[in-house]
Amino acid sequence: MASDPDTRDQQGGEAERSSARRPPANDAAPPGSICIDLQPERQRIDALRDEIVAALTDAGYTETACFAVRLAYEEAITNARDHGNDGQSDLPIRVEYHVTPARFFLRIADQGHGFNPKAVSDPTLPENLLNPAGRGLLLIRAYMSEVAFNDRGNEITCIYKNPQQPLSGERSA
Amino acid sequence: MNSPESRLRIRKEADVTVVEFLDRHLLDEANIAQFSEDIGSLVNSETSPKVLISFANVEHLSSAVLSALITIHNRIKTKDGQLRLSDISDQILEVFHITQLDRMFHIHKGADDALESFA
Repeated sequence: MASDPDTRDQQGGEAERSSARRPPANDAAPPGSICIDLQPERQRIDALRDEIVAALTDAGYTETACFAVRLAYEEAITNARDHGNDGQSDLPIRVEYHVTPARFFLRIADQGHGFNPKAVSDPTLPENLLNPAGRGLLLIRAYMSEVAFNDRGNEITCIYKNPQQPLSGERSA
Repeated sequence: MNSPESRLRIRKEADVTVVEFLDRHLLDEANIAQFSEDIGSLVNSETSPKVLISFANVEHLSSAVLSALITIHNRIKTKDGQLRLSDISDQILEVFHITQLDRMFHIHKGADDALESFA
């Protein structure tokens, strides 16, 4: 769905063929990752989500896995658009993703000054239960296998390990 | 009872207002704001409102929906009303469980159960 004015690039040329190494969430994006500067309009957000889910389905991920990724993507994009980019909700959001049958990689970065994820209060505490805000990060952490932030706090990286596929002998989708 | 832009189906069962979503995916922030406003208006129009929200058609939602539901819950509480939720899929029920909102909301398997539970 490479429609204007989103821009995209495939990083690293050759797709990752196999790897015994399992990069943690704060490493560089895997070779072959798709990189998109996404205009945060609903239609474009939905189109990229559908593209990612199609790639996951092609790679053999279950509907349960797609539900988890869809939710994490939606929450991370919403946080970047509404809370990142320092109030300029029309600024592009950088999305990088990579799918193999064993693992899904997602990195979302805004252009804001960042935030301290440790400072976000726990919405499940009794005193916060009636507070409408602050559940997106909780859901991302619950559904993803690994979650990491860069030091600045304007970039989140999520990894979902497909429980149907062992990581050894990983091949690109 | 529905406004032209409403993505809700709203009907009365005795003194209970039953709300159903027309969309399978509750992700669009404009739609979420609209349904929050629609339900808020009907809550404001009643004394001690009794509201049942059915998720029968819903396959996906975001935390923005949870925020809207909490706001609706708080508003109904201040009017001494009652809110019930029903027909939530297992996947979405897990979202309520993770956020521990299943402790706050009265969640029923089906609409009939929920309707019977109103005092």
